[in-house]
Amino acid sequence: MKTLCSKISNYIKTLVKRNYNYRTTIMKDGSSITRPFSYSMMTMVLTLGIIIFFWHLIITKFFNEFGARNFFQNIPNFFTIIKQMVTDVNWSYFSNVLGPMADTIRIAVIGTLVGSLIAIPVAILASQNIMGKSKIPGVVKFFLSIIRTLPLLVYAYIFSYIFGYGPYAGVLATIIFTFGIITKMMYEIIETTDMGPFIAIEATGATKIQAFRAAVVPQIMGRFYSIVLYIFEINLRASAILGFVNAGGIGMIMNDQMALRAYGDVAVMVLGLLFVIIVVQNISQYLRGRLS
Amino acid sequence: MIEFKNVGKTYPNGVVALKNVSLKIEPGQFVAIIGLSGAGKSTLIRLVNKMEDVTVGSLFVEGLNIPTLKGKALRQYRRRVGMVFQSFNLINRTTVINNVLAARVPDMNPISSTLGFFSKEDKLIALEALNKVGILEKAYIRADQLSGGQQQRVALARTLAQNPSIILADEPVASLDPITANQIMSDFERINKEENITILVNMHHVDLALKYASRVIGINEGEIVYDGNTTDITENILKTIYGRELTDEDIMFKDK
Repeated sequence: MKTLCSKISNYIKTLVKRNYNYRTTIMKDGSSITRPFSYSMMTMVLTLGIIIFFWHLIITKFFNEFGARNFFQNIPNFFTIIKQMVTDVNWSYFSNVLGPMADTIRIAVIGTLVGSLIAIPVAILASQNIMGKSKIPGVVKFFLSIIRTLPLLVYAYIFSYIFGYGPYAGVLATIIFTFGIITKMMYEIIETTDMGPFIAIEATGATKIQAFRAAVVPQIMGRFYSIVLYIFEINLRASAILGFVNAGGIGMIMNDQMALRAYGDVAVMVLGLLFVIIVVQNISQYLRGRLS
Repeated sequence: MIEFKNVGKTYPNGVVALKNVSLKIEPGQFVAIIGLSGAGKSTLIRLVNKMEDVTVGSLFVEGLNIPTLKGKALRQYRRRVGMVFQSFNLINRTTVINNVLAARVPDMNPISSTLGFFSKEDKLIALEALNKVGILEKAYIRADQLSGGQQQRVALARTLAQNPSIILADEPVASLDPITANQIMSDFERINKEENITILVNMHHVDLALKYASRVIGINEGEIVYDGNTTDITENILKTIYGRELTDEDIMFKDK
């Protein structure tokens, strides 16, 4: 056992050593080239660690505490609910659905619109190629990654306590969620655009903002619209469950009717939602097809 | 007038691009800078419009002390200095006329430039510029649908649209075929004569430089090794500039 341990530690030592020795290569004629330090080794070890950790978590939680047998036994309950939704569908409930449904659409529209508008200037600030050697992009990216840490539902939950139950919390949560995603996607697109035209326009005496508007915007605008449309679809689906944390929309009454086990009413809501989502999805797909 | 006085340029990574360069370029001259790749041709040109900063020495253009220019003063100076690139640097996803109009943006008010509304005068300037390089009929076609030579002409028109007194061209014909390269060079020649614009072009191909420029500056490893009339160039001078015999790669029209 002792020898095995020392063998492993020796192996790791040589691995690390070799990795460091690789940094400078000396050629036959005495000239040398130094490879800059790379994090690839560290990243590999970290990824492996994370995978092992989560694997462990899933195995223990799922099979020991929750109980796999329990899980499989409860599957038929799902079909019972589906069956009730089909047999007891309550069309007279439809008029109650319209108002909250309009709220849901409103949350998605306003949230997407405002969130993506705020995203544009921030995405520019986060793009290293536009900002030059400035440190601003690093700082902005750091804050953006903090914003993206929390999922939409958690924001909705928090805001529903701050601003009270209802659509305001939902709109705010959607704005922040949209903002987080779109800035990230946009600065990645901006950072990979062809900078040649930007440099050329800057060389004509334009400011960075003017050069961005003239040379970069035409390159990225199509993709921006298509991302916004896609996020709108996501937001519409998400705003249905926002109600479960009392942040407005159709989810609020859906939550109530589920608690009352009025699956017939729930069925009407699900159908309504399905209809709206299919319509929006088709329009968005058509528009995105036209854009590309 | 462009005046370099003992200019040196060292890049942050330690590469010495130019050493002790002194030269004067009078208005209206057509100057070709020749030399091997890596000799410092591009650096020399990029110092003129401050795309790169001078490390030592001084550089004056039309009485302005270039290394000290900043912000608005630098942008105003750049209005008068056009730049043409090897890779054209056009905005591919938009029309030819919009590419040329982009050169008018610095003079516009912020609202109309943000919204992309160009005045009639600006559109006329852009179309005139396109006409000068002979591709007026392509004005409303997307830039990426043009051939390489046509794209470089659009880039030239964009430069003309800013009404410059100096045009810098960084390897403008290096990625073009011989015939197109010849056409672009004669465009430069015409613009030089008709508009009396100073032209500084760096290029690798000796024969084109000798055919079109009135003055040749030869650079070898960051130093000027020849500066004089095109007509005075001899085989020996070319050998010192290139540090070796000329090969096929240095000449665009091989049969000459």
